[in-house]
Amino acid sequence: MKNKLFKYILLIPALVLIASTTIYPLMRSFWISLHDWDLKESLTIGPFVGIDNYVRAFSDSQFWNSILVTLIFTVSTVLITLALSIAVALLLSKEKRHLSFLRAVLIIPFAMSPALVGYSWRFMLNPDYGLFDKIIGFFIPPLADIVWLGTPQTAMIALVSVVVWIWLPFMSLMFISGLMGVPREVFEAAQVDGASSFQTLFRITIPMLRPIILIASILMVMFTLKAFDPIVTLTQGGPGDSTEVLNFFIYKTGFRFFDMGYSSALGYILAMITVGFVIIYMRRLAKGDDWN
Amino acid sequence: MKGKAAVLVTILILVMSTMVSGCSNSTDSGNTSESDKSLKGQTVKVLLSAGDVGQFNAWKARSKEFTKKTGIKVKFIETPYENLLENITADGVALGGAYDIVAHPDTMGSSIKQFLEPLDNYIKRDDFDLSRWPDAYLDLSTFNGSVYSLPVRAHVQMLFYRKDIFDRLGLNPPKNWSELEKVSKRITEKTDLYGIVPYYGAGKNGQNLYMWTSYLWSNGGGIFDKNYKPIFNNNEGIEATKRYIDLLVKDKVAPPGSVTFGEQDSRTYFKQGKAAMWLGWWWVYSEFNDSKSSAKDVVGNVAFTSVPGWKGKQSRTNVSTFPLGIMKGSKHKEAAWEFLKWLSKPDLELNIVKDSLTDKSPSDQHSPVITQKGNLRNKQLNELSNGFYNVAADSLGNARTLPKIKEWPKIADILSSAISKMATGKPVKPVLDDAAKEVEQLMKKSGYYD
Repeated sequence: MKNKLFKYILLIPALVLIASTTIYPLMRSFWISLHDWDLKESLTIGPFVGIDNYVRAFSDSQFWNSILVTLIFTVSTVLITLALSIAVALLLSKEKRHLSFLRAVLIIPFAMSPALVGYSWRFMLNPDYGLFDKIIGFFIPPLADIVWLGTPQTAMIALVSVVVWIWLPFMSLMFISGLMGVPREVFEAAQVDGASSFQTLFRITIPMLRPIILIASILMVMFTLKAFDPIVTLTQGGPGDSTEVLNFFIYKTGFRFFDMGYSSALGYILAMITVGFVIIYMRRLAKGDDWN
Repeated sequence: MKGKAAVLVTILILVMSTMVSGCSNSTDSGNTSESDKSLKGQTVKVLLSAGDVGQFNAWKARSKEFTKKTGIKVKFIETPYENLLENITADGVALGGAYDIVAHPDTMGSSIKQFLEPLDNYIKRDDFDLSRWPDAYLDLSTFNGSVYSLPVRAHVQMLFYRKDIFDRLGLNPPKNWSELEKVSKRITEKTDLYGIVPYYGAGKNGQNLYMWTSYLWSNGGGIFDKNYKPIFNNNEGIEATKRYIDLLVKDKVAPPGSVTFGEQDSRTYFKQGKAAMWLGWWWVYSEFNDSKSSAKDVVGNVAFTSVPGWKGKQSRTNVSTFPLGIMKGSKHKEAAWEFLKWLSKPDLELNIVKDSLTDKSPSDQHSPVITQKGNLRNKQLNELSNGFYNVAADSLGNARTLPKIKEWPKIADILSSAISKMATGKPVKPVLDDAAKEVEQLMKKSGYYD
């Protein structure tokens, strides 16, 4: 009996840590989301309003704008990142000496702080002295005069490109390890049977990578939904509100407008969207041994 | 299995209840009176916005005199301007005492006043004279009749221009917006500089509103009527906004990048010598003429004039303060008040500026900021600065301030976003109408029309 209790006592420090950093803030923010709390008015939580803050979101045009922006941003970022990272993985998954060096170099963009990446890209995209702007202008002269962060479409393209740039190395490494784990015999058999490279890719490689694609896409959706630093440092949601994703809208509502109840409710809506997506995706796509 | 789960749940509940009780106790701290304690040896922590601001650097250098005199140490903490609100909020909500004094733009005042200590009792007790500052400045520090901060840093807008370029082309500084457009076109055509560099970028705490309001107010327009109904989309508002946006969209006398620029980006552009005019706060004047921060062509060639208006109408510009207030959670309020009193001394700001103009102080401590009425018309100062402070004092007489209501941060965001949209080429009237509708809904919800 003593032994049984002892293991639970050992769990206490971890539980204290999780409770203080995760469970308590979660419960507290849910409680706040059920109240009308304007921090400009009072330091204490205001009156209980039930689910009013949740209902309010659905009649808020800014909320719907941020949902649309989030959808465009997430779908584009996830699809482009996955496609490019599979392509990079196919190029770098061979067991050659110089490729192992390239694989190590590949991780560098991922090792940089997202805020630093955002600021650096803001400079590089500057129409007057930006390096990237000059390079693009040199190779594709018609694009030389584009102010990348100056129109809704180009700002979104720039934002998606930067987030893809951040996550591409990590995702590529996931696919590289997946590809290197596929038995060579399968490819040799396909070669013997006369399969073309195209057929090998779509009939063998991608189906065999299915479990990794599944995990990578779930992770990528979650990473993209919570992307914050690149938006703050690169576009601040602009021009207008064309790159104002839900995450940034929540931050503005809470920490710029001090509407804490509504901001907490929006936070929960984002969490529900993320969890909902993961559950639906897993149910639809994860069948049987995909996870094994 | 059930037993194990029960033990885990019990431990979790115990942990949670300990935390909840711990948290509720912590909010009562920070209310002890300090009047009976000696202030010597205490450290006052002052939160400032980062950016190598001359006036802040001068405060830092001169605070040694204060420490020598009072024994109170002063520690300056800097944070990027964009993070100022978050830092003040985080410490304010927790009553943590991480900062004793915080500098903040006046537009934040209505949002953060509940984190600040009202100064009325200190002012009354020490017979502190507030009339040294213009009423417009003091008004921005006053909420519900209580003074929450002291306007030791304040700005008036001015138009800065490249004298060498104007002389070379035989141009006179513009007195109204149509003259500004004319000289801008001429400069853009005849030189490799843009005529003017505005800042239309969204966000950044509504920086893109200040130049717009100069156009709006000087055309007889406004943001609200006396009943707080939005009127910025009336005829005057549309006319003023079109003119402001057309600098970039139609006349193309502004650099294409200005659509994303914040105030700092546009200032940098001017300092690099790529534009001939810049409209903004006066405090940057010393930066423009500092060889460490401006290009060779720019230094010594920047002159100033009042902000233009509409032909036949009076010019109306912005005034903005960056006051200092004491945090409610401060553990050293008395020491903080002593420091604020010292910072407010008329001689201190006068000497900082005089030493800047006569190059007695290092260039990183140069500051043109004068806030006190007695100093603005100071004869010696105006002689040293070619009448800079007389021009500023004249502008101050016609200046207006942004609304001081608690809904302002949200309204500023709506307007800032609308300006940014129009600068990308969206038509002015529909965008302003949408913004007005949004603002009206917000004000209605806040009970302004009941």
